[in-house]
Amino acid sequence: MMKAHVELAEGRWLPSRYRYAMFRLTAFLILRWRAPHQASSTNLRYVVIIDRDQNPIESFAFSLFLVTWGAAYASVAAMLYWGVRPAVAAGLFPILFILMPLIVQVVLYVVAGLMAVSRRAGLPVADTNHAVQTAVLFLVISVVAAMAAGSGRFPLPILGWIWFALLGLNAVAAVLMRLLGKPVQAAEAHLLEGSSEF
Amino acid sequence: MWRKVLRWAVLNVPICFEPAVIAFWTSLFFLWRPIRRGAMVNLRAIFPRSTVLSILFRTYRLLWNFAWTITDNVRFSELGTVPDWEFAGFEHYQRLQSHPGGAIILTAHMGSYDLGAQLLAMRGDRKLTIVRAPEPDPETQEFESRAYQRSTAASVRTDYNTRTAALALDLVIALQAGEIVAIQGDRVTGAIASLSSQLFGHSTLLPSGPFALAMATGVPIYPLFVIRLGRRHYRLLTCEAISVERTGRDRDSDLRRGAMAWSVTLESVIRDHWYQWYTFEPFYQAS
Repeated sequence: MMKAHVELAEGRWLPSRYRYAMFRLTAFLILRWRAPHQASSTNLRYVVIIDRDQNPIESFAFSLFLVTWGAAYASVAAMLYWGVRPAVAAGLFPILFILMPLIVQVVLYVVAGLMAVSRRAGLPVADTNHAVQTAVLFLVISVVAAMAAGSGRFPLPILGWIWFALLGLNAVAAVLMRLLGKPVQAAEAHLLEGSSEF
Repeated sequence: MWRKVLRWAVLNVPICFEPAVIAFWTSLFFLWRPIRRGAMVNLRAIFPRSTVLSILFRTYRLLWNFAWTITDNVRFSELGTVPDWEFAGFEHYQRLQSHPGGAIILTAHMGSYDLGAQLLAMRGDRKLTIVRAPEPDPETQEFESRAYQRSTAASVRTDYNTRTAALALDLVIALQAGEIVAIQGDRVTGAIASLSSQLFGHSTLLPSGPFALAMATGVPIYPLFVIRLGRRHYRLLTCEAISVERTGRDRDSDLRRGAMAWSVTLESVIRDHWYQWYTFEPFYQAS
């Protein structure tokens, strides 16, 4: 059961609706300093759901970053290690960008295969939801790729630095959110006053 | 088959992958010739002056919304994930909810029918009967029925428009008992009774059942549309009620008047939200 915040557009900036610390921090800052929502003349009403995977900005930003980063990584690596000319590598980027949604799914099937093998071997593995395992494996792969990029030839390290810079930013945001614990809770409680279970 | 794959994907894809995976699925739908062709024929009728390239982009956008909508449906039925909602035409929605007797909701293949029904059931205190067309493939039908039974609230009942005579009687009883009956009124499938009408300047058939039902029971028809605004974000658009009353001996003329009022509303909503009218067969009759 999720908590719903009825008839208030500001509900969409509740930090609880975000998964990653830097997005939660941004949402809190917007919620804190944003002008209160004016009642709409178009007679709209809102039911805003409190769920940490609810926000589209976060999901699209992460997905777009993933696809762009992966396509850039493969193009630069092709140029540096497979002798592809810079112009061809630049032309490769949009093709890889389009193919990347298919390539990232490989992780999904690898996890599904590993889980199936584990189940057959008698390990206590759930037979349905593997989203968490997929996310963890993807994180491990991308950290290893970013580390490899960091020690690679220029300009590959830039991609590694970008990845670690984002991880670092998120870690800083997580610390800030922990320090801001009470104000965040107060702002959420204020908005959630009178909200109902949905 | 693809519905099973979708269910598996919903349970296994991390949220941060979701848009990328949906983009991939949209491309698959786009490459699926019958779906693409059907969508393009309808979009061509809605936008007769558009270029082929523009129609192709519109088709991709339509399929992108379709992929998100069916994903949201599966996410709701499997994981109980509810989207954010906005209500437009709230005064009509309030009238529908506070109407003392039964009422008919007439809707179209837009956004998510199932999520909309669930919202109505959760926010209202009346029973809701949903009339749907069965899936053409029996295996798909069984899979969908099972998923639907898992997710729907106790106050929601689903019935299929294939058993026409018995269903009509059940619906009359439900409406007289003050219940709400939701029907999709933009597509005629199989041997169900129909009325000819106009949509985007083309001659089309609309189901006559909702209008006959409204006339027989004296209940209002509320056009209501579930429109996808973005990721996990929907709008429930309720329009002004249509009343179908018998004015004389010519019953068909009164029914046609009701159908005409509905087709005007439907056309206006589809014109504004063409990118999520999920009709993949030509809506109009070939001249």
